[in-house]
Amino acid sequence: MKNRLKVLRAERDWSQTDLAEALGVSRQTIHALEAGKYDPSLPLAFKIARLFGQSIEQIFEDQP
Amino acid sequence: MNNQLRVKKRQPAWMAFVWVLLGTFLLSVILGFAAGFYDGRADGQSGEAPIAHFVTQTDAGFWLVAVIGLLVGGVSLWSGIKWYRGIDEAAQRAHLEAWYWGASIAMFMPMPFITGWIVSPHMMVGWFESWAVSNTQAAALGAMALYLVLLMGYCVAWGVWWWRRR
Repeated sequence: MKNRLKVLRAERDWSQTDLAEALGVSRQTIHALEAGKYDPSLPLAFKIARLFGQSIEQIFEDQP
Repeated sequence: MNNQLRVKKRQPAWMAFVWVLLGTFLLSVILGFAAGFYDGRADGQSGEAPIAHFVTQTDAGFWLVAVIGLLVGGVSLWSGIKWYRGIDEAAQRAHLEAWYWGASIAMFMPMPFITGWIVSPHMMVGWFESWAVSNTQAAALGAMALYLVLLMGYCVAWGVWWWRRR
């Protein structure tokens, strides 16, 4: 699943480690999420959306 | 734009798992040494090793070992649950998929050999005779080999899961 995590993180000048700690996940998970190689669970997607102050649809793009 | 992150530091839950495993291992080593030391001294004096005799030759010894095994298994399971709940969701997914796919594939891999050995056991019997193991030991080795095969498949699948998401 494509997403704008990397862009949103860069806009805030956060490192992967910063984001990982804020979300309570590992840096490897952030890397996999940004690369679009791991789809987050619904609770994690909501957590990410809340952290960036955007809706899930604004961050994650569904690929049919 | 708010760039301040409110970071809640996570407790390293896997530490509980490591401490319990280390503690269990150390306790086992200490008890083993103590029993061996006691038996060694007794053997030197009377020619008998009472603890070894009790554990290997009596029903009570069997049940004692079984209960200790149950306790150690229970503590390991409990610490494993604590550890599993402490890791993040991607790590949990990696372990779940690794166990399912790794163990399933690994379980399938030795099937042709096992089938062959059941139908035509002379090769395996020859090995066990050359290794000088009893039937009981051979059965235990078979169970351990099955466990190791599953574990190997699990480890490989776990590595592949993360490698594909590097």
